[in-house]
Amino acid sequence: MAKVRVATTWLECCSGCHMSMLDLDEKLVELASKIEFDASPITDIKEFHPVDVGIVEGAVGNEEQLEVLKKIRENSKILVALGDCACFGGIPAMRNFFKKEEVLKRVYVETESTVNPEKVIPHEDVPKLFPSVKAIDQFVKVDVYVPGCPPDPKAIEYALRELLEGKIPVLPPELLSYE
Amino acid sequence: MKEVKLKINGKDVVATEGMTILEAARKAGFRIPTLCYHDGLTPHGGCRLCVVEVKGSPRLLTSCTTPVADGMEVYTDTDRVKEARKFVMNLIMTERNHFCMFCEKSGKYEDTDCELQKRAYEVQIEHFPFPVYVDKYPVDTSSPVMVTDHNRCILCGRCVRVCSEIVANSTLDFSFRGSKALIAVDTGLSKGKSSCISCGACMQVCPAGAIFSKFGGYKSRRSLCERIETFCPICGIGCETTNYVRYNNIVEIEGNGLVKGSLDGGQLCEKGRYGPLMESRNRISTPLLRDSKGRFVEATYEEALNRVVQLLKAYSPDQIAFRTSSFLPAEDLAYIKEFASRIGVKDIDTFDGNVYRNLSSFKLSKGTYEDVLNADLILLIGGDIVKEHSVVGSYIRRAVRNRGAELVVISSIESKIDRWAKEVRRVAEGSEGSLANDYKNKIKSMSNSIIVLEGASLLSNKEAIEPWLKLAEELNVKVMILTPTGNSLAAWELGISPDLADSAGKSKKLLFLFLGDIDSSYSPASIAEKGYETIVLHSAYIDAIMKLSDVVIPGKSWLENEGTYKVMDGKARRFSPILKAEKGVKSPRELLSDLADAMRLGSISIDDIVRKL
Repeated sequence: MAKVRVATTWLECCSGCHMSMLDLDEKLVELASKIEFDASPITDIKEFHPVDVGIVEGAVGNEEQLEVLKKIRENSKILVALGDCACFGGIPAMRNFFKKEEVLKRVYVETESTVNPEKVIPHEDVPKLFPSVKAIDQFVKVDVYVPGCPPDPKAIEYALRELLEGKIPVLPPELLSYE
Repeated sequence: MKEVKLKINGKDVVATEGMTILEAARKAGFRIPTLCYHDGLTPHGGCRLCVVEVKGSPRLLTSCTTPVADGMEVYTDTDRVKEARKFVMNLIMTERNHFCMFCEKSGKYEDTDCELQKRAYEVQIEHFPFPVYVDKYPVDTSSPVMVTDHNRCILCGRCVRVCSEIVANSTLDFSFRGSKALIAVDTGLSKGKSSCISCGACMQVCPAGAIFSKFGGYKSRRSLCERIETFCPICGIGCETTNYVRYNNIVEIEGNGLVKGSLDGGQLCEKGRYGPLMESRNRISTPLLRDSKGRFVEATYEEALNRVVQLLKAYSPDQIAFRTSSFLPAEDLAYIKEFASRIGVKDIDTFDGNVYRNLSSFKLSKGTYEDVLNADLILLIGGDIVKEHSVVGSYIRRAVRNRGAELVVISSIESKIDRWAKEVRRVAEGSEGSLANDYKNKIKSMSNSIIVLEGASLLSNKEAIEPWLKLAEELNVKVMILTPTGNSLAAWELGISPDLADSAGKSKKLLFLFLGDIDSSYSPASIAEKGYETIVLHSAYIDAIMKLSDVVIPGKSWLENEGTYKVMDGKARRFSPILKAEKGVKSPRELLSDLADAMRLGSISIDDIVRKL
């Protein structure tokens, strides 16, 4: 049987959900016989190719992230939102309660660890920041949601196994987590 | 009561008339998720999570507010119901800030402290299908004990209902409308400046993270805590509590019994709910002895014991006085009394001993909590009931609010109960008694009066209370004595505060002082002014009297000391310790037992004495 091809990517996030995926530990070995990773931070392949399942960690907060999201959507038959940021907006969405200018000033000028005497806010060669952070389903169609900050490896395993059996997974309450 | 026969999910169920569908379903073992509903409060029908399908009704009905009817066919778990519940939860989660990972109450399915989150798990919310609303709402941190974050509020109204129905203080209400609606504090004040009495009932019932404690935050989830059910002996009411403890630290204290029909509705007061969490005093960590130059030196427990034995032998029994807090369990009080009598010491007393001495010559008809609730005239004399006996304050407010009872406050200090009074008489402290005769005719004209006597300073002042007691005796009016400390009554019944113990007070030279904890009648200044030559102190916390002491021995705090208390209602109760004392820290009975061994006094048994309580 041909292996199921999977691509993953991370947008505005901390990469914790990918770490949680690696926490599948020995089950990864078993899954590796059925799954082949294409573009992914794990394989370090940068270019997206058509795959069966695309997994997205993180929310969308700037232009570049939206580009990447659209690319993985185009290339994936089934798109999975992995983690609270992708499903809800998560921690990055905390900035939605402030104005964009306030956020930039705080980050690049005011934080205690910043040395920026000219008070320059980067504006060239960096992707343009959106006024607010949104969950990925505000931009593209999402087929599967696996919330959690990060999702429990058990939840990720459940979702992957259901997908391998050709089902669209819906997590039972005990595998859901918003924290 | 009339029986009602209905069908729930095809099963025949017999309910009683007046029951709601929710109550009947729960009784029959069917689970219906709820959010704004609370066992101890009037149903509100606000959140719509408990909707069910009823045959013949075109729309879904809220089970918490719909009464059962004969022949009704109810379905609690159909696809239509499930879809409606998920839709309701989606709307709630979309409005305001329900990003769980920022919130201290958040947890996984099994161990979340948040009811809202639990319900969201149950209906399997896995994303927000509607764009999230990101308006900023105020966060009120002005209360000394709790934070109100309106961004997490779901407007279920539990806090409003508990504040009005149980605490009867009516501080909280709704303001504005629709998505801009806010829980209002009085007429838009901050909690710290409002009529709020910091009892924390709203915090206890909040199903989301909108009202939370300033002291419990981020310490631990409840699922990781040890759960200890006991009661609070700080005042004479003895409210039942559930204590959540982790690593020998109290994380949270809650009132028990917030269910329909319970009298106090699971209330606690500021002191009971937050007091032990606010503890900032330093503990006495090691025995201290004063050396020849007058400095404290650290000593072993045995050295301290030896010094105490020497002192007890150096003075004659009539030169020795024992003083104890009635905050201590009855076992300690009984042991102190037995020990004193073994060595011939007669001068033994509690700090609030005068309270019952003043009452002893009167034949009083004792008022109960129900008497307060059913009174039409309540005379509240002395003190600040909101600070000292807040839960009884709620009974008074309930009588005033729900039944139109007349409240007269006669006190030297301002209180948050004053705004409920028809008449407030401000008098100088100690002269409360001079007004007793003014109310003679009023009491006669009313059918159901009660006199409530409040506060250690009033009750221990003979002149201030005697006129009231005489009046009560003469007119046979019910009297409620709000005893200052958890064990004031037991101390009196055990004879720890006997008649006229003070008469020979001045000639005493050695004072043996037992402070389990500091009760409201204790005053270091009044001990200092008696000019004892030598003071032996057994206490948990460092305070002013330590400087005057010659021997200091660390003791257990009330939180660590197991024992029996007899509170105002006259029921003896066993206090289970909430915290573990450090190794080697003794309760008074343990210390005295060691002393009795050292002095070869033979064994002292107190079991029979305590059993009689």
